[in-house]
Amino acid sequence: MGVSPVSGDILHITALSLLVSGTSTLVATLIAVPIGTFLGLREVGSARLLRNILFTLYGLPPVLAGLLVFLVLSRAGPLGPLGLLYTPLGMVIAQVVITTPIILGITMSVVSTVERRVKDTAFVLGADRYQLSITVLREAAAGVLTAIMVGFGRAISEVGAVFIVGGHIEGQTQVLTTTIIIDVAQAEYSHALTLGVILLVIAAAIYSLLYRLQEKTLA
Amino acid sequence: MHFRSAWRYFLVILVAAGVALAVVAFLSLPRGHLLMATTTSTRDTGLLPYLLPHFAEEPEGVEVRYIAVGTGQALDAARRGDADVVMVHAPTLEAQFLASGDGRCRNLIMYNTFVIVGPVGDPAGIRNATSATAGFLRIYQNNSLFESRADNSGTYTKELELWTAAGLNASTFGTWYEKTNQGMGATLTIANEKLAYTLSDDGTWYARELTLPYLGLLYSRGDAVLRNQYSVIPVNPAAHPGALAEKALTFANWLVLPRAQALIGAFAVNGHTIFTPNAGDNASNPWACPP
Repeated sequence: MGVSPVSGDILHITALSLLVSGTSTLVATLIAVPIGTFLGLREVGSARLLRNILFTLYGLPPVLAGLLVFLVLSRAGPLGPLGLLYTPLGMVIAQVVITTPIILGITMSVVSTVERRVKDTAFVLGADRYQLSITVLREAAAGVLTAIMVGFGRAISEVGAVFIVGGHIEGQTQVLTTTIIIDVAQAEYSHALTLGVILLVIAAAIYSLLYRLQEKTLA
Repeated sequence: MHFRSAWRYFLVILVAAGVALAVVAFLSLPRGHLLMATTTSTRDTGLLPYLLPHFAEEPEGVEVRYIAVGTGQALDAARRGDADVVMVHAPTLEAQFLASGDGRCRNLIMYNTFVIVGPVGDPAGIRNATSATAGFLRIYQNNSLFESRADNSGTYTKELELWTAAGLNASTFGTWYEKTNQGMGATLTIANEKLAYTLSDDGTWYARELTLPYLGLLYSRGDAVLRNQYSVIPVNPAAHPGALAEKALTFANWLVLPRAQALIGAFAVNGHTIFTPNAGDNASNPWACPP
């Protein structure tokens, strides 16, 4: 009659991990790349202040992000009526908060480095501000890709925030990292190790893809 | 050409993000399932994965999903409006939860027993203690390493009760008294590695026994104080209008029906039945749920 405490289908857990982290990376990219490019091209005044703030967020501890998102999404919090706590969408929100500053920060650095290199040439060739942005972004493509991949790597390996916001509900908000934590508490080491290997394979796949894309872009 | 391809990338990412968000939002839609906040022991023993599908099969049943945390946190989740029903085991905390109007009613479901586990060598001599309280006193006198949950759980509440009954104050203890701040399973794992004593419920112990080679079951007699009563409390719709209050009440009442009680009584972990159904005690329970 006994039921193993290890529950939840590995495929399902892996799929949800990829979906949640993939979605949050895409959303974070849409927010971070345009803003990062904009700020990377501007060196002065308020943009510089904003940059400093963003670099501080870059170091935002994921678990603190999780706590803040938890308080905002809880029924007793400001977005409570939406009922997003303990749902995959809630986890995506937490991961967007974590990955956006990372992608933004790296994009900004890469863009400002490239900008210094191509600005004069572009203006000599008669480019306007917008054309300059696009040229810079294109030159900086490999760096921006790296930013996105680093963001994804951070999202999929993150555990504190998705635990707090997702609640590790079996079959619904159970992801690879939270399951490993619970497995270890239950001494289900082989199950935990299997999931760990899956995480590693995902990371390896992402980084080999990144490497290939970079080679292609530089070629 | 360059400009067009930059836009194309942007559009591709935009569409991909839109599709991915739609899938996630679909998975997050309220499905009419109940969300229960419960303690780690009901999950770690395997009781919930065994019992809940039976409720879902009933004509009036629904799927029940759960977060497994300490009793204090479970009650707090319901207090914040983040759960529809709680299944916990800390009568004092439950009484506060009902008195504050957060809980609608309370059905007694079942009980199991608290046990003292510790290193097989038993340096404090718990095996032949005359009572659980006497056993705790020996751990104190011997300064034997002890892992305390210290997590506002029902088990921790009971542990503090036992120290008090032994005439001791846990806040004055020395370095032999360690606080894990974690669930029962994690605390047992730590006790096993550090060769420490700890208080456990027998269900979690039997579920985990085979993975804890350095620990033994040292005190498991039926002292009245060691009875671990589990209750189910649906949240009060007056205080929490967002909760699925009626389904929660149906679930609370289903658990005390003969069918559910028989399922609970038959549940065994590694050959040990661990929960004694006691819905009959609701006859004298002032907080029993209305049918």
